Parts: sequence; C-alpha cells; structure tokens
Amino acid sequence: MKFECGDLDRALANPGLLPEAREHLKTCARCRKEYQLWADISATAQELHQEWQTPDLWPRISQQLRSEARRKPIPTNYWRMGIAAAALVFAALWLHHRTPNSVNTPPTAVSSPDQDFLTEQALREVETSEAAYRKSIDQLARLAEPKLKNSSSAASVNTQEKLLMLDAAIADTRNSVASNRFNLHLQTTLADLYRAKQQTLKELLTIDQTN
Amino acid sequence: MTKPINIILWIAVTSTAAFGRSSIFDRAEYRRPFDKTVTVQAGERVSIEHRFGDIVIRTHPTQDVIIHADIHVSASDSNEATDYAGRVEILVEHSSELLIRTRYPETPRSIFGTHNISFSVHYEVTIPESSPLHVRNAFGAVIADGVKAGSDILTSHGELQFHNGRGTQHLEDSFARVEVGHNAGDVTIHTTNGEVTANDISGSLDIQDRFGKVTVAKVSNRLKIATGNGAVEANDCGGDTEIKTSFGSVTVSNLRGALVVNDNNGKIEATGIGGSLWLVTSFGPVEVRDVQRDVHIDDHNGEVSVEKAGGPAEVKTSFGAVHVNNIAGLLTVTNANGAVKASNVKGAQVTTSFGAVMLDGVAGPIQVQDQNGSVEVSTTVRDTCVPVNIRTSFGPIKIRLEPNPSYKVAAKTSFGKIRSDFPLSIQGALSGDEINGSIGAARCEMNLTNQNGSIEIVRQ
Repeated sequence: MKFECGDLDRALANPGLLPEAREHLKTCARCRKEYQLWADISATAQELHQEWQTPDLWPRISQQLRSEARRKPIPTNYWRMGIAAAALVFAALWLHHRTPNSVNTPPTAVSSPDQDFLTEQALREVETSEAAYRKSIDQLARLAEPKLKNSSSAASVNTQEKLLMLDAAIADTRNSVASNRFNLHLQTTLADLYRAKQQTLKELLTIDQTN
Repeated sequence: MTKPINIILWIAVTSTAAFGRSSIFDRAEYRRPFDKTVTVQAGERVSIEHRFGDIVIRTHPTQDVIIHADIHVSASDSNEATDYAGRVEILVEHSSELLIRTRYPETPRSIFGTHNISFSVHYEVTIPESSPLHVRNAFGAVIADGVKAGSDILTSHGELQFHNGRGTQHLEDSFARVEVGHNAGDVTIHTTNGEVTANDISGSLDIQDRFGKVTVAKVSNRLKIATGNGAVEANDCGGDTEIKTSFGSVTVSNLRGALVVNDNNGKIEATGIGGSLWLVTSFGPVEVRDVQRDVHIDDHNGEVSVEKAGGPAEVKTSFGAVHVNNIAGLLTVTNANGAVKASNVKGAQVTTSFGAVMLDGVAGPIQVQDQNGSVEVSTTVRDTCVPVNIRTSFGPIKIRLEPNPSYKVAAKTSFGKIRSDFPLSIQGALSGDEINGSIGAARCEMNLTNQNGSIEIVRQ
C-alpha cells in the first residue's frame, strides 16, 4: 500500500506504521510540515506537564490498586472495554460537533489534497500551544536578560543580535499570520522561529552555567 | 501546589494530539486555477512579485511565458471561500518587462475581530531560457530550474532552490535554506538565518550568511564565504578561497588555490590545499594536513596541528600545544604557554615560555627560546653542521647529533651538569657549569644556555 499524508495520523497512533511513515517523511515536504506541527504540539504538551507536589500520591494509588487487584482480580478485558467505550463516546461527541457546511461542501469547494491550511481544531491547538510556548519563552528571556545585559563578550553580543533578528522576524510573521491564520506555511514558519528563539535562549543560559 | 490550569491545558493538548489531528469544525476550501500565456521578446526580463505561496520556475527554448497559478482559499463556508478566491488577482503587465503580481483582497474580520479567511497562491511559470529573471517572494519557496540568462531572486521564510542555470545569479533568502546546484557563471548568495548548500558552480561564488551552516563543493573560481555563527564546509574547489566566520567550525578539503580563514571561536580543519594557507582564529583548535605551499597560522588559545606543508610554516599561539610534522621549509613557532613538538622540518625557530620543546629530525638551523620548559632537539645533518642556539631557564637541554658533527660549542648552566657524547676540545678554564670548546672542525656555532637544568650533547 502506498503511504499518503492522510495516513500520518494513523501512523502516529500505530508504532507498526512508523517506519513506513518515516520513509515517506523523507521525501514529502507537505507531510513533514504536518508532522512538525504535531511534534511541536506534543513538545509543548510535555513542557506544560508538571509533577504533583505530593510525589508519594501515585505510589499510594498504585499500591492501593495492587492490593485491590489481589483481593478482587478484574479481568484485563474489562478496563480495555472501558477505554474503548470512552473512546466511542469521545468519537460520538466529535462527530456530533462537526459543522454542517463540511458535509454539504459543493464539488468546487474541494477539501484540499495539499493541506495548505489548518483545520479549525488544529488552529485552536496551534494557537493554544503558541500562547504557552510564548509564555515559556518569555520566562526564559527574563532569566537570560540580566546575563545578556551584564556581559559584553562577543558571544553575548552575537546572541543579542540573533535574538533581535528573531524578534523582528516573529513580529513580521505574526503580523502576516493575523490576516492568514489557517495558512499552514505561516504557522509552521512562526513555530520554527519560536523554536529558534527558545534554542538560542537555552544555549545562552547553558553557556553561562558552564562558564 | 499544582497549577490546575496548566494541567488541564496539558491534558487537553495531549488528548487532542493522541486522538489525531482531525478537525471538529471542518472548513470549506476552494481552489481556482489561473492560466495565461504571453509571448515576450528575446532577452526580455520576467519579474514575479508574490507573497504566501511557492513559485516554481522552469524554462523552455521558445519565447512564451506560460503562467499557471493555483489560487487556494480556506474559509468558514464554501460561498465565502469561492467569493474570496474569485477576487484574488493575478496581474500580468507587459511593458519593458513582463511583470506578474499577486494581489490579495482585504480579508473581512469575524465578530471576534479575527480573520477567518486564509489563502495561498502557488505558481508554476515556464519562461524562455534566454529571459533574465527577477523574483520577489515572501512566505513561500522559490524553485528555479534551467534559467540561462541570469537571475535576481529574493524570498524569505521559504526555501530557495536554483538548479541548472547559466549566467550571473543573485540569490537572497532569510530564515530558510538556499540550495544551488550547477550554474555556469558567478553566483552570489545572501541569507540571514538559513543553511546554504552550493554545488557545481563554474564561476565564482560569494556567500554571506549570518547564522546558518554553509556547505560548498565544486566551485571552479574564487570562493568567498562570510558567516557569523554557522559551520562552513568547502570541498573540491578550484580557485582561491576566503572564509570568515565567528563562532562556527570550518572544514575545508581539496582546494587547488590558496586558503584564507578568519575565524574566532571555531575549530578549523584544512586538508589538501594546493596554494598557500593563512588561518587566523582565537579560541578554536586548528588541524592542517597536506598543504602544497607555505602555511601561516595565528591562533590565540587553541591547539595547532600541521601535517605536511610544501613550504615554510609559521605558527603563533598563546595557550595551546603545537604539533608539526613534515614541513619542507623553515618552521617558526611563537607560543607562550604551550608545548611545541615538531618532526621532519627544514629548520626551526621556536619561542615559548612555559612549555616543553621537542624537535625531531631538523634538517636546518635551530633556534629555541624557552623559559620554563625542557628542550630536546635532534638534527638530521650528517658530516656537516647547522647553527644551533638554544636557551631555557628551568628545564634540561638535550641535543642529539648525527655522526661527525662540526660545532663550536658554548654551553652554560648555573645549577646543572654539562655532558657530551662527542669529544670536546675545551678552550679556556675548565668548569662544571660553563664550557667553551669544539666538536670536530667547529664550523657552526652551537650556543646552549640554561640556568637550572642540565645540558646534554648526545649521539643519535
């Protein structure tokens, strides 16, 4: 079977298809863009993850579950069926919320085979992750600011120049995104710029820590 | 305490990611093709001004410019998408040149103040191969193939690819990679934050980058690369090469011409240089192999290694060790706090302060000025001599000579012994810490001066 961009979602959920997906990504720029956005969202999600302040909570729950299991063994299939039922409910909700215009799309208004645009949901995810990303970058920038101000080394001047350049490019791209929000290329460009800025700030902080 | 909002957000994002990226609210998309063919005069310029979409340019031998544009719009409903796509203009203006422009109408705002229409236009344009090309794009790639009359292409936030061209090409991009493959003519590439790859240029190549990696191969004439932070790789080039960078490594191999590298904090590796070599850096190590002519290296704090040069080699550094081997000329090393180790050189002049000096197989004059390091030298001169002048303060001096040497020896130390394997004819008073005498016919001067170390003259 020939792998197509539409199969990407399925491949991400099915490790068996990942080798084929990776091969396809090498030659398909469009899928790479799609995959990059997905990876960005996943990365942001991981960054947003916070540990509970009660680190013994999960071990206690785990311990309790184990003792419960010893008292009353539950067949594994039951919880699998529970998850399947929850997924079914989620899928039903998802179908229920689909807008009518997508169903009644006339033949001329084709759904894009090229994926130039994000869907509504993908845009919401991207905008949410962008806001979180921006917040974390602002925090990094605040951490780095005194070090940038107090250092006159060539590396520091260089980093300042790069950050200024990235900020200008981010402002320019955000300006374009504001009037073309669903454009996949623009959103990918913006994500790339944020990633570059975050990387630059991380490098600066790491260098200063090692020095 | 846990931040509930972040956790909810995290769960929301991971849930949607785990359930795939399908939409809850699908949008309508509309695609409108635009096609037009215009005939231009031979040598007439074709210009394209565009934003938000890729431009693919091909060439053919006829004088027709074949324009195909794919106008693509996404909106909340199909009527809105169709209406907006119908109002996107592809302007084709023919005067002294053929100008193709994209004009997007204003997008209406929703009740929330946001723009709900999105758009892009992708071009495929076939131009006469004799037409010069001028392109301005933003947020889209430019891919040009077969342009035979020179071009001036500028884009940003989109890849720039140029292949199989002829004539002078000027290519500019920012925040995306530039790739050039095969051009018969000079090429100039300017970019700020993108990787540059250039291959097979029959002409000169001038690259200015700020923060991207530069990889170059097979440039027949002069190569000039100026970058700030990116690594530079250049291989198999025919002309003189000049590379300037601040924080990136430089790797060069198989150049037929001379090489000049000006770096600040990056590692420099140069192999197979047909001409002279000049390297200047501050904090990076330097590795040089197989240079046909003279070598000049000025490093401040880095280790320097030179293997095989066809002419004299001059090395300056302050805090790094120097290793040199197989130099068909005089070796001059100026160091401060690093050791110097050299072998198979035609002559050696070494100055250092706190490092050991080891010179093996020197076939010419030897001059060593050290302060706090040991000095060990061997010559390959048989049945004759070369001038030797060695001075150090706090380390032993040992010189190994081939059979039948011929020296007028002046050796002096304050707190050490002086020993010679060769018969010495002493002149003047005998003393344990100062000897003036001769070995053989005493044709060359040998001055060995120490303060707190022994002096030995030994056989190979």
